[in-house]
Amino acid sequence: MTCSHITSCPLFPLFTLKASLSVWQVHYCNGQFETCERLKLAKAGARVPPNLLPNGKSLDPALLKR
Amino acid sequence: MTSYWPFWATAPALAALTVGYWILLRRPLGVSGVLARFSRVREELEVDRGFEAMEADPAALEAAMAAMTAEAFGMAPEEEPSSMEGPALPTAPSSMFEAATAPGSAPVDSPVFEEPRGRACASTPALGEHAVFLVALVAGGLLAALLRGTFGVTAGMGQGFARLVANGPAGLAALAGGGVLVGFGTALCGGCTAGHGLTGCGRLMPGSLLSTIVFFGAAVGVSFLLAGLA
Repeated sequence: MTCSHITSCPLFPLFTLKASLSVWQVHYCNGQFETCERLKLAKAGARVPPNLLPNGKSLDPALLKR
Repeated sequence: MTSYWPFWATAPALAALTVGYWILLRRPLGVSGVLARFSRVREELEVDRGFEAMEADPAALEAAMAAMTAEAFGMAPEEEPSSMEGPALPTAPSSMFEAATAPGSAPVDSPVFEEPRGRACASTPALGEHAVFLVALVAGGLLAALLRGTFGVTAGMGQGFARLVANGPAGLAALAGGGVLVGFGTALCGGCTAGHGLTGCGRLMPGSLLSTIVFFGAAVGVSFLLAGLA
């Protein structure tokens, strides 16, 4: 069973473009998607920050800019 | 009283608007969600900045993702990008994030992946774009009124409203209370007549069909009630 939000989640294509990141897809998108914090937020009707990872941690925006 | 369009013209016009909106912008048409964004401006601006940060530097994004992957799953982070496994990025897009989120982009390395049905929606636009949308809504109504020659500034809602509800401050208070109820209702059911009635019903979504039945049914019922009281 696959997460119902893979067509709209901006992180899902990232996970599939790089094999080193596919562990996220295997663990969350195609696995325990009920535990994905992004899915929980989306189901609550809130806008999901793009840097929020499925495990609830966020990419630091400061680290994304050089 | 303004004459309405015949039903056989209104339905195709609304359908063309709804479908055209999706074709041009890759987003479902809705209004209440746009309004709601301006009730939480600070959070929305923070999310917009997050999107900008994700698109700014693909190398930094890749490094940050690798580090978070190692932290989350206990894997050793890749030391050199050239040694990373995986397919090459598609050409043309200027950033990894843009390539990944471009509408129609398909995964290239997913052995257990099921092909998604339909194409992905475009991402939520920046707050400024939605501000333009709301201004255009008001400007469009103003333009229509000016072209018809029916524009006018008035503090009243007409004799019918005054007879059935109230006039003066009491009438304004009733309008404000009605507005609060409309806002509460749209937030509760996650949409309005545009989002549920046009977009949701057009996609045969059960929640939208039920919401539309309820609020249109309520509108028809109240109309008959007011007509009986008049």
